[in-house]
Amino acid sequence: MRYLAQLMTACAISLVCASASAQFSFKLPGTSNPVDLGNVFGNASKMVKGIDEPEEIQIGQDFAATLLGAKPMMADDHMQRYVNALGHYLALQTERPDLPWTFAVLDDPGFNAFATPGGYIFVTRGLVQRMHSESELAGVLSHEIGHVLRKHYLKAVQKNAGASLLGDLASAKSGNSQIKDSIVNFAKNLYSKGLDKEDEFEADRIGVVIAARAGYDPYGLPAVIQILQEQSAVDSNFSLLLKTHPPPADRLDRLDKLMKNQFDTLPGATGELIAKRLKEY
Amino acid sequence: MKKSAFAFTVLLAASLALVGLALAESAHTESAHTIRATELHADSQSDATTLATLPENTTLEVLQRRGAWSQVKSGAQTGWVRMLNLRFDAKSGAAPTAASGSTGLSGLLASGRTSNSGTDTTGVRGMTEEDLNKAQANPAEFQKMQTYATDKNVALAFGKRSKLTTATVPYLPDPSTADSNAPHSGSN
Repeated sequence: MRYLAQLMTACAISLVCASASAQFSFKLPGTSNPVDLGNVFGNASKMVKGIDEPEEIQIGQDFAATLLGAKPMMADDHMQRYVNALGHYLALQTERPDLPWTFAVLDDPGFNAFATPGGYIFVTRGLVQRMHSESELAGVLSHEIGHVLRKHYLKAVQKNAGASLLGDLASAKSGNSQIKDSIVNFAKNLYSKGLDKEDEFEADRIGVVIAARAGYDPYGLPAVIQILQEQSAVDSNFSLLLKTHPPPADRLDRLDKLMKNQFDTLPGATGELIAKRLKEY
Repeated sequence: MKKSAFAFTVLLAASLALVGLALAESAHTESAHTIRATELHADSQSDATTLATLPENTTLEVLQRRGAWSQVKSGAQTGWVRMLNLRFDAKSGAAPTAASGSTGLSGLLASGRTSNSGTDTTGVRGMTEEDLNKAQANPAEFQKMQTYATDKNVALAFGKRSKLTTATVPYLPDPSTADSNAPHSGSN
């Protein structure tokens, strides 16, 4: 009798959460993973209210672990400490200074940068090497910080992940490997496809301002986009980034219209030689 | 012992070669063109003497950048133009080496070798979609990443020791909500 009641309740919930039923695996009592019905209702209300900060951070940590599965960090303490000092300093110039901002340089000769929800930000060794100045690196990090401030990756999760993944993301702490796998797969897809182009344009216009607030030359980021303009998408070092971002010319057109002469009177430091920084840190 | 001495020698030779290449690279200029009629100034500011007005679609050699300004060579003339009036031309031939930046890193990071493994398979080419698809989440590496996070004081100290002057700058407006017909004054 109890079995039948649970089965009927499970069916009722399937009807209520139509998309959830496609992705939840309802297991019958007596098997290893009984349905936690309280959790199902809890999940639905989280979906309506959005993702809170602890959940955002948890998602970001899982995304970060996924990226690190593709490429490990550079085995260089100085580089990692330096990028964390620079990156965190930039993040303090924003409206979310208290996120667990953490930065890493991946051991990857390609040119790439990634952010995850909650403030975990990556650049590649190949990107750092190609920077002409610290202000350019600051521009790239500021662009990534912009993605976190405007919750672009989180919006992608909300838009595309569906009710069940959304609802269970916080309970990923429970260690359920199926849920972790879903999050990891979602992350891989997201970083392969890239964000909406409007999100990239927004990160650009936020990025130049963060760099300016920090005292850097705000034209560092546009200069990096000019580097991208010269590259062929066939060059595997740039292909992933060029594929996942709008054309560099479009990005420059938009910044051009917005920046005008506004930043001319700011001091705009070029910053220190990175080789020198590695000795400081 | 012998094997690692050999590896070291190869690495040193490669690094030196890249340093040599980097020095050559610094003389390499970029090719760009103007996207509108652009004033060529004697110096990197709007009120510097105008040397010429370059027509739209003028091909230029870009020598260096200083903030919003790029120093360019057009025929016999050299001067400064606003960098956002330029669009760069795609490079033909071999892609630039990683040593083409000038942050003083030439040769320093050339090897891509991780210190924990004798042979490196992850560092030889840039991340691809396939790398992402095959990736297994690495929570241990993430924990390692977290050990490098700095606290606020270290972050603030970075700014101070760098003598960076912070500024109050409002965010730029979202153009989809702003008046997109406003005239653009970008040709100075």
